[in-house]
Formats: sequence, structure tokens, C-alpha cells
Amino acid sequence: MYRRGEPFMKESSISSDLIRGNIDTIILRVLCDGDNYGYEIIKAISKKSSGRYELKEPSLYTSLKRLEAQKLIQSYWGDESQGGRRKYYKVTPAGIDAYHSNLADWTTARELIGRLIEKQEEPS
Amino acid sequence: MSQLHSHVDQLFRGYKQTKQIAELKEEILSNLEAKAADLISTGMPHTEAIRKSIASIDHVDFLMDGRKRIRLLPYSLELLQIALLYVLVAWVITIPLAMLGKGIVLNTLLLVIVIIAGLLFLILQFNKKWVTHGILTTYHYKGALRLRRLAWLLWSLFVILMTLNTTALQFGSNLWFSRPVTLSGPYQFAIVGVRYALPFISIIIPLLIHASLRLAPKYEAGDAQ
Repeated sequence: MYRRGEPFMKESSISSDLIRGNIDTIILRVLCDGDNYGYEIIKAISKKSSGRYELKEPSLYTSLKRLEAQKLIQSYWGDESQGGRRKYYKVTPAGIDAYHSNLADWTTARELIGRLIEKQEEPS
Repeated sequence: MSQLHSHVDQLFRGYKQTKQIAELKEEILSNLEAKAADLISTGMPHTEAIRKSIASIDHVDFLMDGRKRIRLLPYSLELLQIALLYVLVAWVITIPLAMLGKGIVLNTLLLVIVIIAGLLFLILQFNKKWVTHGILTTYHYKGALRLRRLAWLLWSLFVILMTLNTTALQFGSNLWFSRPVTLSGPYQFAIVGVRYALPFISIIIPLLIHASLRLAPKYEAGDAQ
């Protein structure tokens, strides 16, 4: 993890640390909508966040490599007639399970963290 | 688009051309092409689109097994500190030996290294703002592991050879002519002891490589960003 004050923290502004831990799940979520290749995955995430979150290429490749090693996704080559071949990723049944369990974890964590860090009016 | 091609070639320079690497290269290139084409379709000038695509990935070390990105300056500072300590200990040990007239050259050399390492350490220490600066470098774990094995092997060989050499010089004729070995008094004994002990000082070299491997994980930069 990066320490505070290092220059690369500044560029992608807020919350990139909070998001980083969930990149794998975010990518699984995109692939649940259909098979996709690297750049389109980045674009889909950017679009879904209304341009507020831009996944960086190095993070994308690291995540894809990890997910494939865990057999949560599979890759295959597309048959583009022009330009370079694209590598497509497909979520496996284990990947869909992992997505649902990560989602459940997230929902629990969000509720709990919310309770812990938000200021609440004491019911009197 | 040929600029993207040469950029990707550049990224993978120095890696063996395995099937896995060739596929990774093709994947990254096709994604960069898709990105550039997409940017151009939004009205961005061609050169700007290529420049932005190239900027989006500037190294691929994080995708290679056994290589990690580490934060260069804090890592160097701690390694330097350890090196300084080792050399200082070696220097202190060789002081009495130098007084016996043995290993004066080694003792002086160690002192010079202590001074240089000490100055470097002070410079880095008093410019901590450089240290917190996020310069990253690649640490080759596999290479370092090989180096460590090699260093210990060479060191063992060196110590064995030096011990044999000292024995040959010291007692060779006694053994050859089967005369009894005589050491006339404690001074003689100390001189012989020092001759045997001096080569062992070189243990600081494999120890330093050891320390480098131990430190590297501490300064890993986590997921690439």
C-alpha cells in the first residue's frame, strides 16, 4: 500500500484507496453483464461511475491476472479481422459465486462501517 | 499506431519471448489500440490520443512472477544503514589485528568504506523529503535469490581456500618433512590466529545480500497503480 503524501495518490483523487480493495469484484460485476476485453472493461467502469472513477491499466492487468489464477474468469482470443487480436474474458460459475459472496460481504461492511463512522443522533 | 507497437516492444524489452509473454504483449497492444481509436473517435487529435495511450502503461514488471516494484529511497536508506553497521563491526574487529601488523590494508579499506557509507547515509537522512518521494524500482526476487546462493557458495570456497593456503604457508614445510609444529609463545599464536581469521571478515558480503532480500518485501509498493 502507498504511504500518504506520495505523488501518485493525488491524480485519481478521492477514495481510490477505498475502491482498490474492491476492484476484483467490480471487474467480476462488469463481466457478469457479458464477455469483454481489457479496454472495454475500463470504459464500462468509467461509464458506470459517470466518469468519476477511471481504472488504471496496471491495476486492470493485475486484477485480471489474479482473477484468472483463481479460476474466477477465463480468457479466449477474439477473431478481429483488422488490428490486433483482443483477449476476451468470461466469468466462470465459480466467478459468479465469488461475485455474490463479495457483494454480500460488501453490503454487510457498508452497513457496519456506516454505523461506525457516521455521526448519529442518539435516540432519546 | 506503429508508435504503440514500438512502445509495447519497449515495455517487454529484456524479457524472454515465451508464449505467455507474447500473448500478454498482444493483449496490451490491442487494448492500447482500442484506447487510442476510442479517444480519436471522441475528437481528440491523433498525436494526443497516442500520447495518452502510451502514458497509460509505462512498465509491466508487476505482471511478471518474481518481480516486484519497491520504493527505492526508503529501501536504500535502510540497506545502507545495515551495510554501515556491518562494515563498522568489521572495521572495529580489524583494529587490534592491524596493531599486530596484519591486515592493515583491509583495516584502512574498511575505514574508507565506513566514511563513504556514513556520509551517504547522512545525506539521505537529512533529506528525508527525497525519501518520502515515490520513486519506484523493480526488485528481481529470483535474481536476488540466485545471487544469494552464489554469494554463499563463493564465500565458502574463498574461506576454505584461504584456510588451506594459510595452513600451507604456515605449516607446509613442517608437515612435508614431518617436523613437529611449534608455536613459540602467545604472540606467535595470535599472529597465526589472525591469519586464519582475516578471510572470515568477508562474510559481510553474503550477509548484505541476505539483508537486501529480507528488506525488499517491506518496501513493496502494493498493487501497481
